[in-house]
Amino acid sequence: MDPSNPAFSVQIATAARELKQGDLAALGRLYDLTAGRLMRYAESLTHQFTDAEDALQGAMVRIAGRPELLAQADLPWAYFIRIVRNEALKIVARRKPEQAVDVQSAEGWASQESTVERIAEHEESVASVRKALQRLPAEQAEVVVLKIWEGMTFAEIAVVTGESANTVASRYRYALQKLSRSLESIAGEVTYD
Amino acid sequence: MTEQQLELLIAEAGSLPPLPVGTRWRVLHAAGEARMQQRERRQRYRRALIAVACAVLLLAAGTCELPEITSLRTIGRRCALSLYRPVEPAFAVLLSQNAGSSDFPEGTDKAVGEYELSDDSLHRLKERQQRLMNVH
Repeated sequence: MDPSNPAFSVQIATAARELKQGDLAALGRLYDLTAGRLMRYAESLTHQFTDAEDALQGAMVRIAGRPELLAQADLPWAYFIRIVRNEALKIVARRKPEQAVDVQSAEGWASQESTVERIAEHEESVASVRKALQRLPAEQAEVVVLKIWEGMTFAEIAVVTGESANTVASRYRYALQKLSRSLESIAGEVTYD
Repeated sequence: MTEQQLELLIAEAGSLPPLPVGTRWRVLHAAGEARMQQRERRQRYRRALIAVACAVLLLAAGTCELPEITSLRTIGRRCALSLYRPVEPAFAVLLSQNAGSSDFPEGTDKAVGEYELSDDSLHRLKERQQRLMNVH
């Protein structure tokens, strides 16, 4: 379901409420509803699948500990993403300098063979876009991911990142300018309806 | 490339890949365990609250001493709330025995107050309290 659909947040809040009431299976429903999107977002911050997995696990453990906070959040989806963001940033901060991700290396998000295998269609343009996103500063890349892939408004992204909506919008514009330059070469290969 | 074209291009690259089964198991196992631990902590804490509330009730009535009340499992919501705050420090030791903590977290008084007691149970409690008072 598209997160921009209000029913999506309602389902998240409902699962959180059921979890609070003792229904452990609600954890599975919450995972099935959100994990793919959260992993995709976490990977945009960590650039590594395993770190994104750790971030998702950390977030789910936090939710399991206090599901009422998610159930009562004004914007449950934004709240959930924010928890994942905090976990992902903690993981990134813990990395030793020598473990820093090199966007050109085979360990990277876009070029990692196992990751590419998980992409439904191994299109060159997909890999190019992801690689271009990875080259952006993390704070710009996450705004693009949340705006375009998660369908969030600037106001909602501001809730997630703790920045003002204007700052978020500026980052988005800067990011698009950079992406436009990076992706110019493949633009002609893509057809638009 | 227009902004709209660019956004479409990026959107097309955002397909959600299926996650490995192992990820689901790992994440849910960790979260489920955390939930169970949290539930056990809450149950221990609730039992401690009941003991504390009992203690408040009975000690304030002058009907028993601390060692006697740790096994009691009845609480009078309406009575306990009014008696809780003044004697709270004296019961840190009870929490320590029952929940492994000598702290009274914020909201303890609210939690005690939320522990519902039916009118029937309250009536029985009052009767028992009366009997204890008569004995003493």
